[in-house]
Amino acid sequence: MALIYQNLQFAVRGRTLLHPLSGQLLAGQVTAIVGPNGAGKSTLLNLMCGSQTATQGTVALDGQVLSTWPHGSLARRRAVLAQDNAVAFNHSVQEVVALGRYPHRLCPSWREDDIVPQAMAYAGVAGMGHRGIHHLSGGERARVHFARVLAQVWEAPEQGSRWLFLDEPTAALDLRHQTDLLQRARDWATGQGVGVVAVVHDLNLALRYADRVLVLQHGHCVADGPPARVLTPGLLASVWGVDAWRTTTPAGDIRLQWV
Amino acid sequence: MSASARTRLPAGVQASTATESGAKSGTDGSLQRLGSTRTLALTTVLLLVALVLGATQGAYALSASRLPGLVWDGLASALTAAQADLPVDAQVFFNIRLPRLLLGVAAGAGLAVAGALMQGIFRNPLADPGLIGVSSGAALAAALTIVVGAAWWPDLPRALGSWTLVLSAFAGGMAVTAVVYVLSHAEAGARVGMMLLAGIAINAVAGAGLGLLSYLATDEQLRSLQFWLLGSLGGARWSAVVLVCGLVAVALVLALPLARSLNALSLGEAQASLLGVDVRRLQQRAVLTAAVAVGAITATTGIIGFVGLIAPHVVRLVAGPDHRVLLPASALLGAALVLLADAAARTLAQPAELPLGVLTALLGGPFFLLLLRATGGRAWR
Repeated sequence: MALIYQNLQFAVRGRTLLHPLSGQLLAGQVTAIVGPNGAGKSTLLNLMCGSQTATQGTVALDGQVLSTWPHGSLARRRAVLAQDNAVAFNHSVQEVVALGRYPHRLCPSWREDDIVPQAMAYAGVAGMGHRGIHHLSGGERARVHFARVLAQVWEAPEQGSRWLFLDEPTAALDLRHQTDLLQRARDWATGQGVGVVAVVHDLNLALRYADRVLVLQHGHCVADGPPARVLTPGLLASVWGVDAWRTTTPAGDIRLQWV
Repeated sequence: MSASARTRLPAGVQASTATESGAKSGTDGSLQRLGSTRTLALTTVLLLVALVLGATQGAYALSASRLPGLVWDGLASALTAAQADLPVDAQVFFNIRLPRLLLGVAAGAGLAVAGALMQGIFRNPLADPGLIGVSSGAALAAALTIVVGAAWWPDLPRALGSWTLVLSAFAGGMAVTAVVYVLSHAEAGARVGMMLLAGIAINAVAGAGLGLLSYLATDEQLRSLQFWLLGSLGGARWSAVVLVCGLVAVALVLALPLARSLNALSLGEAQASLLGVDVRRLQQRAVLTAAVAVGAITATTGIIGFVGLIAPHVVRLVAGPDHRVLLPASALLGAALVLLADAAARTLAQPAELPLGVLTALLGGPFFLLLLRATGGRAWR
């Protein structure tokens, strides 16, 4: 029940975006990928979920190399929320969320009809079903696509693990919806054993919701581990070039602040 | 909404059709869309009206009340093989009107579905079936046959009889489509954007070839050439009609199952691929299907413009972009539009006949503008 990446490397036109990287991710955990702009975060996420092919190295999901998974059965256990979610035509929100069920069209769940409404309610877009996707605000649209990827892996496959890849899922969201979304992803990981991998910019969100952070800089993984241990003022100074310090909230959580 | 439609469509569509059935509500930002059943019913009724109009109007007017009798007479005589005994109006109907109607239905349905497929594949509402080069290829091949073929190979027309033009046009359409497809897929990773540009470039070359050939053509050849550029159902002979209807029927059967994949492609090629869509195969199937349909149609009728662009557009305006409704409704609407335009082509300047391709654009353009105004341009896309 793991995603194992070995010697993963990516280069385009002679420029190396990701230097060789090995490790494994566990289902049931939330892994945050953090780092400055252009550090290779999205590249790493895309390689892990199979939306891009590595120049060298392999990714194996539940013991099987990603590129040898049949399209459909991979799509039934692994959903990806990308950064760019432009929809060509003005589909209704309902139709967009229902697209998440596309990989299940040949073998629908016995409660197929309930999944789309439930996913919409869970992602906080219930009641928007009849609105056009082009008529929504950026934040609403982001939540609709979150509902779509939730619908895609709503139920556990018969065997093996389930994965949710989120590329900057909170970029378009207000504070409240940022925490809502990551809390839901967190709940899925803890409660249902789903492996969650998310690129996030807000280090405090990573601190609060992730079990593990991978810190990337210039295509190298410079730190890897539990966020409270990894995200130190020293690391922030060397990777982001900010002067940071830690505080503790009244609830006892660690927070990072910087100038 | 009927029970059969409920079982046919998945949950999402049911829910939306139940509440959206054409009502002008929308104060809460809801889409004002016609449900799938109503859309298909409406387009079917429109096609039936167009069929009756097309059957009755023309140089030899037939009354609508006579149509059932005519069909009955025809069936009876076909069973008894007594064609000669048919009254004049029945002969007009069976030998002239009916093949023309069927060709119109096939042409309209095929062009519209091909248009919907191309718009879906290119994720662009401005795409039309001509974009992959099939119609310009067919016209170029036809022009080559008319202008050059006869000079270089005088026996060619006799060798193939009346099929020469049809076959060469069909082959030309397929060949140019193949060139566009191969060019756009030569480089790994290059996809529809490349196909769009290759299509535009090849269309320009074919257009130049066509221009050159019409410059070289004699007056007589020029008149034949015009047929290709302006389009007409006038050449409807039973043998060709049966062939075109068959090919378009095959294209429809191949196109309809692509609906859900085309919907997923709305999210982009990368996203569709992550949903398990085999994007490459989808593109191949859609392009091949459109090319076969449009190639066969253009080979028999010449270039009928605008239908392939406008029919899917109109359906999207009233019913939304779900390809499960869009593809069949576009086929029905496209067939109706071509029949209506052809009826107008035959009657407006009696006894002369106006070119169909001119009328589809002449009627379609203003109608489309009116529709855009009426809907406030909201469904642009």
